Amino acid sequence: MTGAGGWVGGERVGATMTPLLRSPEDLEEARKRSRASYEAVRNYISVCGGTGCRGGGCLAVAQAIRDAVREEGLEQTLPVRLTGCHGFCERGPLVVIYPQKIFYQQVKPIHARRIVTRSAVQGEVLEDLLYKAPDTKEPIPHEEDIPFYRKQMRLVFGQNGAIDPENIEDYIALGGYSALVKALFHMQPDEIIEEVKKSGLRGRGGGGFPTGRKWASMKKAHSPDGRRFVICNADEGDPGAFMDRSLIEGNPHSVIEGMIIGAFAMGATSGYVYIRREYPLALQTLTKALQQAREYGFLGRDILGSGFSFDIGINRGGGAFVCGESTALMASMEGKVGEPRPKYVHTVEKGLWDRPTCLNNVETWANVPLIINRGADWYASIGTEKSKGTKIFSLVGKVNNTGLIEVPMGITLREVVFEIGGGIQKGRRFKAVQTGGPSGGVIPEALLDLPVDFDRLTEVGSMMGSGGMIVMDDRTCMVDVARYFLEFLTEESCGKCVPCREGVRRLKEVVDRICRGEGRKGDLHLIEEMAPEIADGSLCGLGQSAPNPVITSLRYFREEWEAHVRDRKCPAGVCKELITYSIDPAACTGCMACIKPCPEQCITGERKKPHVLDASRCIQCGACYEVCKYDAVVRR
Amino acid sequence: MDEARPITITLNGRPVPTAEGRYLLEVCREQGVDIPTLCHHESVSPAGACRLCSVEVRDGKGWSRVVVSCIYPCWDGMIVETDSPRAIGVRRLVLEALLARCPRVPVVRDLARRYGIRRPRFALEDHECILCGLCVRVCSEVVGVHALSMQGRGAEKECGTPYLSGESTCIGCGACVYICPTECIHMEDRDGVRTIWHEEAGVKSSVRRFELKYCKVCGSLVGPAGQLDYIRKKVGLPDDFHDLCPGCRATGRQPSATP
Amino acid sequence: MEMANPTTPSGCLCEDLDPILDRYGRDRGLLVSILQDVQEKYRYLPKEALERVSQALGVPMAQVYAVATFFKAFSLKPRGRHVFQVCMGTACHVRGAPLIRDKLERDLGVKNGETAADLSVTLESVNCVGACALGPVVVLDDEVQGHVTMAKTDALVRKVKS
Repeated sequence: MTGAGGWVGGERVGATMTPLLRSPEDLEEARKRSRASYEAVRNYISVCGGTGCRGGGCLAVAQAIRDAVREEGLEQTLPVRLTGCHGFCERGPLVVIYPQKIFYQQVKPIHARRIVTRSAVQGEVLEDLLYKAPDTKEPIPHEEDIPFYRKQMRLVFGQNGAIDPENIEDYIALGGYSALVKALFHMQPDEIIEEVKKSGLRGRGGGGFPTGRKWASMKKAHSPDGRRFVICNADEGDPGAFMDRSLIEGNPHSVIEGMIIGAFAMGATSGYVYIRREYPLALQTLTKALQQAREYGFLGRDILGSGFSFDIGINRGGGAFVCGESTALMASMEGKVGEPRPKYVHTVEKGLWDRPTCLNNVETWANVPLIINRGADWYASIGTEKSKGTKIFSLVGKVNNTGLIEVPMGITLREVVFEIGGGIQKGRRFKAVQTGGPSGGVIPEALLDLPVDFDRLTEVGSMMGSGGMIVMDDRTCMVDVARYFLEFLTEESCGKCVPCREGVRRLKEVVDRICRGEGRKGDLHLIEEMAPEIADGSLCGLGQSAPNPVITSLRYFREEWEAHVRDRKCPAGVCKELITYSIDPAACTGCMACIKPCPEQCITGERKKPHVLDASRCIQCGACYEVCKYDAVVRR
Repeated sequence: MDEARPITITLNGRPVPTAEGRYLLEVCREQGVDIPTLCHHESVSPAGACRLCSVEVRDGKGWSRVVVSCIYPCWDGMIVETDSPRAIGVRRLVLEALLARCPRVPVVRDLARRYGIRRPRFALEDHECILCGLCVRVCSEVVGVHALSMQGRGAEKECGTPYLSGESTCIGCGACVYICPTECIHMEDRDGVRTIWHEEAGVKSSVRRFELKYCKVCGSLVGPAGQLDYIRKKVGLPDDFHDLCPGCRATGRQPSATP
Repeated sequence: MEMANPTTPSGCLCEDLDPILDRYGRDRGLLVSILQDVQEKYRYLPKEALERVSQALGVPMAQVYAVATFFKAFSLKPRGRHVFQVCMGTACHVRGAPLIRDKLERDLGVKNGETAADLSVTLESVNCVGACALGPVVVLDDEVQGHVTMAKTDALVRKVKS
């Protein structure tokens, strides 16, 4: 695996050997040096090294640019920097030329030479690589002017594109660990907790529990042997959400700094990051960041000479959604199966190894340095009455601009989907947006003006969850989406309690038959009868919220369910058993593109003559539908 | 440990004095309130897995919640309704689902019938194990040999020895057989061999065999050799301790030189 | 009910696993991490390895086995030399991931969750790899492939078969 960051070419001015910082003064000295070296390099090329861009081939792009730099003999003057995720994954790989901040998107290795010689050296703007406004087709040279970024408020996520996540010096140069100094040397633990309380910060992992209150309970809890733990939940399991991944990959020290501050406030003796195995790059970045933090003296004994000692270890998750549940996560950290236990006794009192334990999610921890640095009043001025600050969402699905966005709480869904997201792909019709993952629900068009915050989303039957926003269009079947979540939950249920293990799969059995066109009269009532019983009866949050995706779908899209049960039809054209493919002879140009991909050879026809699809042999694989450029393959 | 604080709860409309932190199910049973359970046993720790003992708890100020009484600690002033519509709803869901899973298991059928469920609205299966985990808990908490575990997850979960094979730390004590509420763990002593196995719909798994030891005097069964070894090591008894049955040991009879 | 019968890797596992066990200080709290490294070493979890881990950490074999069968990271059967993982996250689902999975099942001749008899390839679905903006996503041998189409799937299958 290639590292996420690093300067290539161009030694950094003033870079020194790792200093062990023994006091706040040491840190300020180090900061001066880091800043000088950070600012000394003004002309450089930054390539987004986030997972999204890697999927688009950014490592090859970075290599091609480095090669071009070398061939031009510019190693000493034009560094290439691989940064964390910028968020606009849809348009990746992303390249930015500094200091002009020219933003190139969908860059390929063949563009490398022009980027180096003409753009970075001569200052020319390569118009063909710029983002173009979808409506006016006007090219936009700067990142901040692109509509995707314009409505965002990137407080937590802002440094992601500016720093090399593998170099702690960058973080320090931009003010990193100054909140830690403030907390350790200028605040009492109780003041810190009070500040977090006052800020109104609520848990970003799903539940939205007030963070300050959790910290206060932990502070009060008694530990028989003095051991107390803080844990960062990086087991981001919500399908469709990846902000925690990007934060760790792009700015790991903000999370680490938050954890140290929290540990100091709550008197924790050690910390852990529980991280998903599916995120190898995040694991690598975090490992390196922890090591650097230790070398610099931000972790370990007597941090910055404050007398406070604390360190953070890594615990790798084994791949279980239920481990997002605090008690299951802690069981797994004790080497046991990830089964939750009833939380009648809270984990802040008896958590990991039965000791007081405070579990917060990645994004929650990353908010802490901001609050300490800029104050609770400032923080609480952002957002809505009961949901403060910003929230990072992953805006994905059938929307034009997909990626990670950070917006103030209270922004409307319409702004998110249509202004930041640029509307629906291929000009199709908006149908719903799903929030809250498998615990959340689908929100219909009529509620698009809903301000997004913890409580408003819950009111309409969904929830904030960890921040996935999956946009759906008229070709998304809402029954199929409900079935999808039930399948997910059936697989991910730990299987300990009966309502979740048996109830959810029986709910799925009913929805499955509806999708197959075998729905029975009374099935919709059966679903509505089972839903509250599963919610009431289940042991943990997974089961308690499992009916939400189905219930909201039924509440807002009942006609579509009825079409499946009564008419045996899938209006969106998704449920395999209920659809047929055919070729519209009027639209077919006879291009023959669909003939070869068909695995059953059931399409026949000659060039320039309308083709014919033998529906009796069709397996509904969708291959012809995908290749047809003329919308001549009809699915209904 | 501090003496638990005396408190009063309201149980089905009646004030009941008890101690803070005691599990609600215990208190209900003392008071003669019948609450069904399938995963509960006094000798092992509560799991809150079957959810049959769900009851509704209120604070009288508008807050209410369905909780599992086997593991819910009592607090002062709580109002408990053991057969509220919500609690009954959970029990009916659990029983309907378990009946569909295990349609032939008597204890499930009887309980389901008590709650008015005769035919589940779901596809019938042929399981006999309800995955209550009692066998796993008795084996680890009481016997201490950790031979069994719940394996896999979700709907695919199953219960038995590692790899469902005969190879395990099992000592053949049979505690799992006695505690299993659905009687899907079987035990048979025949021809000097004890066999213990899990069985669902005629399919046997986790089949393990143990040599049986008989009294050298009267020939009556003493127990499986493995279990006796385990006990002797744990308690520190002489190697020949189990050569005799308790009766013969008490009367001081010795095995004759020639049988 | 299937009895697992994993093939034994050659050589004594006891010494083989010591570096892994030592890396984690034989801490039973790190059982899941330890098993992940063991899995990486053998591409699955052989029975003998589980027994060794159980013994070294002092964790009952029944518990090690329960953990090994609970988490999705682990396989008790040998996995293929190439591993296709079809992301089944919500974003990928609405963008047609099930059709991609079905196609891979057809073209690889392997059912989802299974490994080819010659151990050439394994097909799995995973619940979100966190590359949601690129859906549908397939991870082939740890490399994320974004915006996967039927045609791109063909190319990936060709790459593996050649």
